[in-house]
Amino acid sequence: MKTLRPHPLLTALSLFLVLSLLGGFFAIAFQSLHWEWRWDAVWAYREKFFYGWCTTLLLGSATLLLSIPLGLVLATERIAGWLPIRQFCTLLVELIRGTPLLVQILVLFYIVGSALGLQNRLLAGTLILALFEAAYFSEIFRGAWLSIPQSLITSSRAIGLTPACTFRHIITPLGLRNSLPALAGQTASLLKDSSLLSVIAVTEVTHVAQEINAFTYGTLESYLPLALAYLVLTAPLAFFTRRWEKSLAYAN
Amino acid sequence: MQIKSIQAGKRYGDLWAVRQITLTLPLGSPLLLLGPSGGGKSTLLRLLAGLEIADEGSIQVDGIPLPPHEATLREYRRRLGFVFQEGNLFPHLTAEENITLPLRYAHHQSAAEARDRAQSLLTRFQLLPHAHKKPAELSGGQRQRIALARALGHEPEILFLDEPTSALDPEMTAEVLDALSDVQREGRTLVLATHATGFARRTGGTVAFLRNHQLEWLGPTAEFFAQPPTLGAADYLARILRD
Repeated sequence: MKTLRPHPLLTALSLFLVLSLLGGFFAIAFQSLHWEWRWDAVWAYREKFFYGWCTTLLLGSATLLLSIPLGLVLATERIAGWLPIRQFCTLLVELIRGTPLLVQILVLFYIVGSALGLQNRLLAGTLILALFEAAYFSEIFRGAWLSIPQSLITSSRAIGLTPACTFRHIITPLGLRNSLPALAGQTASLLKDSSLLSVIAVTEVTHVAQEINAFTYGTLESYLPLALAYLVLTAPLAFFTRRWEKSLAYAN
Repeated sequence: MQIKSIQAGKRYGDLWAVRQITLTLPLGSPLLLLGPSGGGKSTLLRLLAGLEIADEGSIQVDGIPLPPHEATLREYRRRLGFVFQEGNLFPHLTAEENITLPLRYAHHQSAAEARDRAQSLLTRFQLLPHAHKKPAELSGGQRQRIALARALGHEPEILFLDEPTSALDPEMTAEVLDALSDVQREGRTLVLATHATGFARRTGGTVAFLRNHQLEWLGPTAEFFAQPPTLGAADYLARILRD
């Protein structure tokens, strides 16, 4: 699909208009609130906030690194696994996708985690979140895999490639290209989902913001920077994925 | 390599796509699979080429029946070449990469070796200027010629073609058939399922006429076209030649 590219000046003008409309709307909304801004009170907690942001980044990266391979395994087993394993994976994925993350965190940490003697909140939180995200990633991978035309798989068999070679040279690049937007979206969701780990007192950035709010009563001064802290992570993700997508394009 | 089909058949669910096919692949001369659509041409081609496993009878290679093991079948297929109706080329690879992929990963050639081979094939089919284009940037005829080049990369003992021109317009069909004539002249054994009767007639060799999932007639191509040997063949030719 090809769209006409408008003049750069027109693009800039249009962007300016959109930004000022959006900004104006929020400015008016905040004006009518008559909020007494007390930035100095929260400023004292900047180091703690930064520390929480780093925890979120670390937690998010570790979760991503764990959940992608796990999602791949779940998808593979659901497509080509031995029947009992396939049923187990299907059940697991549907259970995870069908229940709230909040409930999963509480049950897995306070019941399963306690039974296993797992007390490190950061580690437990990462594992729980990784399992949750893996279920979503597995569905993305499964969809991408099933979207590859059968004729290409036949073609690959005909030229004598092994299943492993087909996976490496055909299924992975084609599937990645198809699923990149969904993968980027899920990664952004993953970062935001990590905020729910505050309920088991993992000191990630949302938990810190809640604490700052409790200490200072500066609700907006705590939560607006929180939104910005997530945006700083998710905006580059969206930007770089779009560029990556373009580099992988093979058809108009 | 001698390939025989002995009472071979293939079933999809309750439906037999082909039944009780007995024939020997003539070496060094083309075998043309002709017959109405749905008559079993594609299935027989896939059986002979080790892409499907026979549900009755067997396919014998040098006197040994093909076992139903993917690994053995894969070794067998590596000695053959294939061109399908469409969907041959991998859309994320350039024309050249499509040709080098099997050479590198199924035939264990070095990157340089594979590239040299690809370039010489692209030159032979006048496709060198398109070496770095992706399939979507090429015409249907160019795509099929690249598929042909890929199928020839490893010097296959037998080349299987399943209606390679059925998805093309007449001009592109001619383009592909010219390339195919060129390949045939070098004496490679071709097994071709086709509706291109003009090309079939010129090519000579043997005709296997399939209708209603069975081998209705097997004999010299010239004989088939001179005097349709069965009522089914006469009916088929009348329909094909009408337009």
